[in-house]
Amino acid sequence: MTPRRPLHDIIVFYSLALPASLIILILLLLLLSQLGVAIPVLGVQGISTYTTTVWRPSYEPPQQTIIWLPMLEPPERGAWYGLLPAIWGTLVSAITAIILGLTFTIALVVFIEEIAPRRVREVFSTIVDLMAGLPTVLYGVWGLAFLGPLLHRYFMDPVHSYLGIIPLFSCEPLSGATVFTAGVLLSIMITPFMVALVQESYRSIPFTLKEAAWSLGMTRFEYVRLNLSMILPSIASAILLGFGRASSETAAVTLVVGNAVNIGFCIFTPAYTISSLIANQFTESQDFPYMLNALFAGGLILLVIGLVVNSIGIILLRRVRF
Amino acid sequence: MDDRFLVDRVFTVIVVVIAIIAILPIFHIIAYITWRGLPIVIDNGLSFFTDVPAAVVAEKPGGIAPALAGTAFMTITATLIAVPLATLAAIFSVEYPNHVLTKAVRVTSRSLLEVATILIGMLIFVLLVLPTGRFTALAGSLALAIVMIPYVYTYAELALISVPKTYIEAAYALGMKRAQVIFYVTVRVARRGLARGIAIAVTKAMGETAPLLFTAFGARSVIFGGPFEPADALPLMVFQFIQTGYDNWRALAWGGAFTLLVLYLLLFIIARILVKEVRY
Repeated sequence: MTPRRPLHDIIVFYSLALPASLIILILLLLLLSQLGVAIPVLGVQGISTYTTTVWRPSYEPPQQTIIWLPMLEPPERGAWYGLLPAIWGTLVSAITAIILGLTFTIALVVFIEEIAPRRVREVFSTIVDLMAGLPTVLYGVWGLAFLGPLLHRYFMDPVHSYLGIIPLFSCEPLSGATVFTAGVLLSIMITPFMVALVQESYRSIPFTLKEAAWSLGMTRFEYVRLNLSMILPSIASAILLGFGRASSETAAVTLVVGNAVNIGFCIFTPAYTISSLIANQFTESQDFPYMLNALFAGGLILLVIGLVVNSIGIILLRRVRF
Repeated sequence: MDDRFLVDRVFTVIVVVIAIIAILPIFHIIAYITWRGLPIVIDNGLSFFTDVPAAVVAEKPGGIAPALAGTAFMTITATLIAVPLATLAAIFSVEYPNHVLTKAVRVTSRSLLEVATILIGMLIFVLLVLPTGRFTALAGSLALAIVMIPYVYTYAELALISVPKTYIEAAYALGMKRAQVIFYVTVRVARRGLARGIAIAVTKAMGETAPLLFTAFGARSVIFGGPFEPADALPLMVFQFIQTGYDNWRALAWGGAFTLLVLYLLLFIIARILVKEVRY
């Protein structure tokens, strides 16, 4: 028989369990609020909300469609809120960010861990921390005023004129505000976050393994390649979690992505991401029937993508064990 | 001489070059924002921090007082909400490590860390703004509190777990009750780690734009209208004014961006000092 817990102990338990449960409640409320407000528009436009490319606010509500039938073209009349361009813009900017960000990340981790002298290593780590916490709106104003015009003039214009036959670069960049600029800016923003994840695993590789590699007479390149191959799951995890970060960023992206309903394979065009669509259209959305609901349908998919990507990322991270 | 060493040389050079490219932007961002923002702050002097924004056609751009007041109010109130809540939850996780609730809170907190902050703004909009029919500073505080909670929780748990078990056992051996051990020993010993988490969370909250768009909304005609009126915030003002075509408002945005940068750097240094001295 276990002895009865004294009363003061029970009081401690409940006064701590209450705040803990509140945190769980917040996440539940997040999910419920997105779902709850999204349901009306999903009841009218159905699954087509996520498969159509037309964004047409109007005082005339969208026509009822078969909700389980994914359509490519919405009805001719009335309002319509198709989220595919915003989802596409989110994917394109986040993937661009991941490709560049992963390159930066690997280089930084290898440099900090294997190449830099101790002093330089500490300086670099501090700088990476400084980058990680910088208010995102500051990245945004810099992207808007400097990075966008810079990329437009010295990268997008030349690439378009020489490699314009490739669909990726086929559209003429009209300004610096494009989905590509958003991707580049995001890559800078997510790099410190990805570095932290990969670096932690890299450091957890046992010293005996590293010593063994050196004793075989490996060059630094071969040694680093071996080390990185041992922490592949954590690199995959950094990609996923970095993707989550990139797809959920709002303030900086809204300032540089161009904010236009566009979809296509060209990355030099202004576009929307889900979060920039919400940020831009929220205020006026209350004037049109179902428009606010459609924005919550976008928020819902953003939340679901975020939760799924995160769970897989965290499971992968646990697989690096020595 | 075989190719392996050539490959190695080339590899090293490429890594160094890319690593340097990756950290260049932060220096340029700091320099660029200072270059654009500092002259505006100097031109307007003290009134830049004490005036409300002027009309777009006015001769001088006015000041950013509403943004400063709003950021101060919302960051402080959000801290007052988030810190006790998240710290108590972290104490729970450390005191009852095998409880189901502990696992649930850990997973939840990790998820909340990654949730797009604009969704938090939408949640508060549904819960508070729609029912009351108005944007309020308090709604902004709540949104920022939710942003802060997972950061405070994560760092608090880390700090509390690293408190040496011998201290805690010694306290129990002296006949202290659980609550006494928690508040007189565990929390006291971990206080620097806790403070660091709070500093990081405050930095985060102070720099957030998205959760305030549909909660605090922005208000610029008075410095601060009270907790039940719309309020402004530094990042919100920068975000909205930089997108306008008016020279006056863009000037305020650059000056505000510079102010935000300085505040961020200060908090960053404070958090650094705290982490340096965590020793048991």
